[in-house]
Amino acid sequence: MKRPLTAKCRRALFVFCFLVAPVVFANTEPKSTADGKTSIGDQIRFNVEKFQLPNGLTVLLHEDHSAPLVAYHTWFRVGSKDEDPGYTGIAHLFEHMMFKGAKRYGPGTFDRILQANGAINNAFTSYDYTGYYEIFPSSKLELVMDIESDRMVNLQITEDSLKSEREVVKEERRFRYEDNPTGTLHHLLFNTAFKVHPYRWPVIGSMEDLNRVTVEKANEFYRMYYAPNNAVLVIAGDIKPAEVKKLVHKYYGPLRSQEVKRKELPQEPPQKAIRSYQTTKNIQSLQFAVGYHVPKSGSEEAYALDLLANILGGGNSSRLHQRLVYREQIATSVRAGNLTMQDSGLFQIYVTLKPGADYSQAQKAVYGEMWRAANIKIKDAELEKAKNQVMKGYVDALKTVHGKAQALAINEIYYGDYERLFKDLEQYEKVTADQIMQAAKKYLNPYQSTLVILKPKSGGN
Amino acid sequence: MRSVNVLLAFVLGASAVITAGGCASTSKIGSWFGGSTYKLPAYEEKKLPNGLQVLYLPDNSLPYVSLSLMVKVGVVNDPADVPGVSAMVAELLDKGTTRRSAPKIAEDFGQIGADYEAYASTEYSMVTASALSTKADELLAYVHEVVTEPTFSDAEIERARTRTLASLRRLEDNSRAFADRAFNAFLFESHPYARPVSGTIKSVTNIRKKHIIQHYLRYYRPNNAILAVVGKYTPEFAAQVQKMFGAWEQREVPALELEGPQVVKGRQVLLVDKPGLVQAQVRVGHIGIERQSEDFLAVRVANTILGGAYMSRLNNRVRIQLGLTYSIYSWFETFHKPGAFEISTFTKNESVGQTVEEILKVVSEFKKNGVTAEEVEAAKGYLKGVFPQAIETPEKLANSLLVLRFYGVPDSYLKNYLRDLDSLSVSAVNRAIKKHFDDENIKIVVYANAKETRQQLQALSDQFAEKKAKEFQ
Repeated sequence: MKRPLTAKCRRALFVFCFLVAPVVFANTEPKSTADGKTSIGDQIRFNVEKFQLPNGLTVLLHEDHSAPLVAYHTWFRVGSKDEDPGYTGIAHLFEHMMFKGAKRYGPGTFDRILQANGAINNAFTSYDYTGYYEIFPSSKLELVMDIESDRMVNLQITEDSLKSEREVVKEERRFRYEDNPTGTLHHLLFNTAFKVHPYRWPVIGSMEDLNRVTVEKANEFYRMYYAPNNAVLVIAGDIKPAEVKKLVHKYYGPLRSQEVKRKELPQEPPQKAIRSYQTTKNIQSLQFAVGYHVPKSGSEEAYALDLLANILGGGNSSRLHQRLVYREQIATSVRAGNLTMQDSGLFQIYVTLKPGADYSQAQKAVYGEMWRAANIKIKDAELEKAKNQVMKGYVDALKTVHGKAQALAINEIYYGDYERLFKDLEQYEKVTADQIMQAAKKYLNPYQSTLVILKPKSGGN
Repeated sequence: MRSVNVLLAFVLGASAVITAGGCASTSKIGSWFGGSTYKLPAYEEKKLPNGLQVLYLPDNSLPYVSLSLMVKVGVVNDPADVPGVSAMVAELLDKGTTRRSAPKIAEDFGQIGADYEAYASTEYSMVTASALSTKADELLAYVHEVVTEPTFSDAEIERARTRTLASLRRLEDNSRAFADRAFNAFLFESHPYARPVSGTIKSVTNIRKKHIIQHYLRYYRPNNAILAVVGKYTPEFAAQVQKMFGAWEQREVPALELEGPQVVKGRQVLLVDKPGLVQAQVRVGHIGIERQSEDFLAVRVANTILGGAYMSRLNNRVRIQLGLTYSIYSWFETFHKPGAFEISTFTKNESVGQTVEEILKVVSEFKKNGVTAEEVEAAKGYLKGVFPQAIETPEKLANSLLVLRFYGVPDSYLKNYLRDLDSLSVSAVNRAIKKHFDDENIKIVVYANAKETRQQLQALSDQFAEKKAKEFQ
């Protein structure tokens, strides 16, 4: 799923930052099936209007008057994969700098004005994209548009603001990675699974590289990637589309497009042998993760792999939870996910053992379940369960205008066509047990897996 | 929720109380933001003959149904020597009933794509579940079954015990959660609010089946619970809810008489040692207010200015100006009796002394000179603006209504929220600051590598103590 597990937020403790699964949309009326019932997919449709300005800015509008709120998302097609070696973390550090003031809204005013007007705002950076959003009373739409269009092209970065924000980001790094075993494990998994592609380095970057970023380098990054033609704007909620369109033209129309030079990124060569890495930390129990290279975002096989991830690690009735947590009682938690990114994908399994539990037993169980998935066909009821759970996830993601906006944005960013989402639920519906088995056989090969282990320093595992 | 999505909790009622109203399907910006009262969305409330309160909140926008059952029991009701019983009872509800085994229940909930969760907190427990509308009948049957027919088998109790013990042993690896636990224990001392909801290694080891059975039979009663039904459901479904839960047997539930916690005296520092950490988790605070406090709203506005929002004084000083942290915020946790006022942050080991000093300076200045009219206006603008987010979905509104009922706060609180905010004067906010914030009688807990932080912290107060992380397990 297009779920940015590694997105970094500017202020994680104020607003929950992980994004949701993509959702299905269409701007048509619900259709009836042959038996007269409307499908879940049809029931969750909502109106979307899409247009593009001459400067290349893509705009999506969704009108929803259920609360007097607007969710305003501005996403850019730039993430940590676009960074140069030696400057890892600049995409995320730069995201922090976007709050430091522009031309019409100078230093310190941006957050103050938004907050006094009842807006919450935040941002996140992923491997492939960077997103900014505000949620606010609908009467403040023009103010927010003025601020956002200002910082899209008029950002002012100073030495002082960069210096203090760099320290903030370093604290974020200590918090998310160095003192967080799960964050450490995630980084190790990507760093071991990817040897060539920029997905090998963490979104937050290294301390050394963060220290290297200068105002000049930040401005260079800004000029290279922050332009209307590299952005998607989604405005969802209590709006009148005709009026909003006029405002979009007024505020964003005068902005000039610019050439975005995409680097040719090195393609990750096929993994030919098992890779493993282990290290120790002052922790109480062993954690390990297993990863497999899978196709990139948008592939046909992603739907089967998404469902398989759900079958293996989605909730208390999943195979790995039942085996490791319930029956064998050696783990406290297990989760599985199929992360598909722009250039590649990684099917991931994370296991946290009970203190002192037998690691080899857990490892055997995980690889055993992968073998089972690749060699024994999933029964219809289990497949149906996975589909039901995925559908429920879609419905949950749509309960707020913020959820709708981010689901629209992520699909527009990845595919350049939000309607692509509309096909997703149908695609999940079509997946067969044979397709899941074939995908497992093709991609979840133990000899092409990556295994990383984080062990307690004091032994015990 | 306080450590993740703290914002809305802040705005409308701290971690224990998220307060909100609702709006109809058409927005009325003028009435929302013009300071007048507003109309709550239509919802139905029924009290069944067995005492169960049922709230119905229809929502036809999406094909889902959710059920939320609040049971008025939490760790404060646990036997003093075995805290953790409430949490274990909640965990065991879906681990076997008179009709089905734990794996079968997990399988059946999974099969209908349902999300199910049950947990205990300080003063109440919640069972929540949701599914697609097409699976509403199954959802109701399963939820009813786990709530009214759990069997608490020996094998499942042992499973839950070993799982909980493993989690408790691992807790020190989660530095943020562990610091919260240590602060709670240090702040409330022997008061029941100090009890960790999940218990301790000692108490969980000592929980017996009789504790679990007694607890369940005593507190899981319809006359001690409120049920919220939300989503796209039929009239038949609504009737079936009443029929099924109407058969739940009521019984007299013992009342709990609780004293308020002791106030903090002097500046007390506790360092909890965890070798290996590169960052120090910092908690600073004292006893705050109860939910029924007449100063509730004034304190909310005051806290927004101090540390309840991104542009607060604490965040402005400690993060934006000094770059000492990634996150700092403050909040009031309100219960039936006064809960905690707490400031939470983290910083690299070498700057922990400076960070605490800066926090205390900000609080000191805040208490001494109060806030300006401009700050109060900005805080009001913020609180009013984010208000709709707290009630954006009927599920959020339902949750608010449950909590308000638990604390005996009338719905007029919701209806008048915007008007009451508008009418709050600067002097009322400043009076609340003088009364409810303190920089001298305050407790500080730091969870960090003691070798690298001890010296900095010893300099902060004569009342300094140090403990090992294991002592809070």
